[in-house]
Amino acid sequence: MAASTKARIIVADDEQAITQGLSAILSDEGYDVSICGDGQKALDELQSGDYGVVLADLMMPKVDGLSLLKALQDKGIPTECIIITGQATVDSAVQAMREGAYDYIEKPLNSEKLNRLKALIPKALEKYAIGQKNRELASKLETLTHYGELTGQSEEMRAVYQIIDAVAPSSASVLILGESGTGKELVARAVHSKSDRAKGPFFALNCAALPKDILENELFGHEKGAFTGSINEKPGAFEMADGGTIFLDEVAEMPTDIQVKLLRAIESRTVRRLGGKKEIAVDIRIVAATNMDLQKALAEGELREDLYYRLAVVELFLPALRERVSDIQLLANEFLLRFSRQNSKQLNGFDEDAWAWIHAYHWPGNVRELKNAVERAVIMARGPIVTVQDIMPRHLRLAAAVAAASAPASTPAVVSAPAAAPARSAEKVSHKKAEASKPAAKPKSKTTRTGKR
Amino acid sequence: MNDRDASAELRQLAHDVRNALNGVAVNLEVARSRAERGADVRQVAPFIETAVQQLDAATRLHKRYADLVADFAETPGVHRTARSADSAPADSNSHS
Repeated sequence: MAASTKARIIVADDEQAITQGLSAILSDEGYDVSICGDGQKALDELQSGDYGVVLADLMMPKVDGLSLLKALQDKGIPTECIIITGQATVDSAVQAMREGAYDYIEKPLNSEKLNRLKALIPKALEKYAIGQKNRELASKLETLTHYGELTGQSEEMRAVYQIIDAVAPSSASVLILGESGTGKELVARAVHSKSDRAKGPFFALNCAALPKDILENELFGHEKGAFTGSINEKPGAFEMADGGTIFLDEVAEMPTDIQVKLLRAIESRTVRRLGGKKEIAVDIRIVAATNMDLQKALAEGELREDLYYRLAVVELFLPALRERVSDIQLLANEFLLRFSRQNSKQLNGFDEDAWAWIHAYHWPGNVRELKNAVERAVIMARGPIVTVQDIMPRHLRLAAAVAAASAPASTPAVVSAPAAAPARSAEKVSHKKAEASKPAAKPKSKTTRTGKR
Repeated sequence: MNDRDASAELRQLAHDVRNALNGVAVNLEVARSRAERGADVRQVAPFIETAVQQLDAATRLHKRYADLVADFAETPGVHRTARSADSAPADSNSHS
């Protein structure tokens, strides 16, 4: 049998005569055996390699068998632990079993016990192998449904992942287009983390959130005495992101005179601090984002065309949540799990009406709105299942109640959840409500455009 | 040596005797299974040697144990410790 195909086992005991004997017995059985003289060495070894089974003496120096077992669980190190114990410590061995040990063997290790050990090990290795298979499948499943911090398995999101994969290794500027709440910053982070700048800084700045003077200061920094109150020098975002990526969110809302300075900085790869005289060279990649209608912003002069061309070497369109409905359930379940944990609640899922409403609603606030709705539902839920009342926002519940009250007498008094939900499409759910019921305008079907116009 | 120290040493000796006898059992098992498969003597001898060393150690430790019990024959606390610790080495001998 080739060495690489042998199952690997650790024998952890401070008695050399026992470890050597056990090692020989197990080697004769065809296993690849490593010996560790104490629990700490065993833990170090287990952290650095794949071992199917660890035979651990309960009484060991530094880290004893029970502590080793606990550390393995705390650190999530996959292996099956068989505890070897003296007769006086059977209670501890029983405790070890409760805490996840595969089994225990009681000393003395006579012929009968050693035969039992030989029979136990293949079963423990089988359990380990099944666990490994499950972990591999879970990992594959994770890659099918997730990409960095992004969640989604729809065709639309797969197209986004492909573009990120293609563009990340280059140094091209990326302009991310998408409605508010679609996850533009997560895409920017993904572009950064998949690039060779991943070890450098990622600096995000929301250009719409700051007044003009502060934004300029944040972008380019200032020298000491540049303005009243500037008692110290301060590097700007460009300098802070040197060697990494700068993410300029809501870039189209940046005042046009700062856009000029931004363009100059991008073209020259240098910045000059406010009140400064010297040019500071910066090595940065720019990822920008906007939720504005670009054609309109360009036509109305809100976004300078020359800056647009510089920023949009690659354009990446992030779809709205209603355009990737197949991801809604995945996202809702993921948020439910996350917020249940955060709020120490045990929720088993959504009831049928809640699902119907979730699927029917058009989610104008996109993933952010879904996330907030699920967080609120988790907090409000009284039972083990999230109901439509838990997840539906208050203003929509009120609208549903009004609709029910004004309905003809023959109409059921309780408006069903999907009927109360603002519809994603006119075909699916009839329009009963006012503004919230209107399906959103279908955005352009493009996912990306590359190159200059 | 006071009663408490004697009790502590008895417990440690009992543990050490058990470990030594385990060493004997495990190494003899290696020798036996390898001999059964017709292994070369060089693959068996080291384990026989270790088993002998462990048996010597067990004998030495047990002598110290017996001497200590005899020295404290009149001390009830030490005797209680000896009785509770005794079962394990006796058990080991009967199995190996």
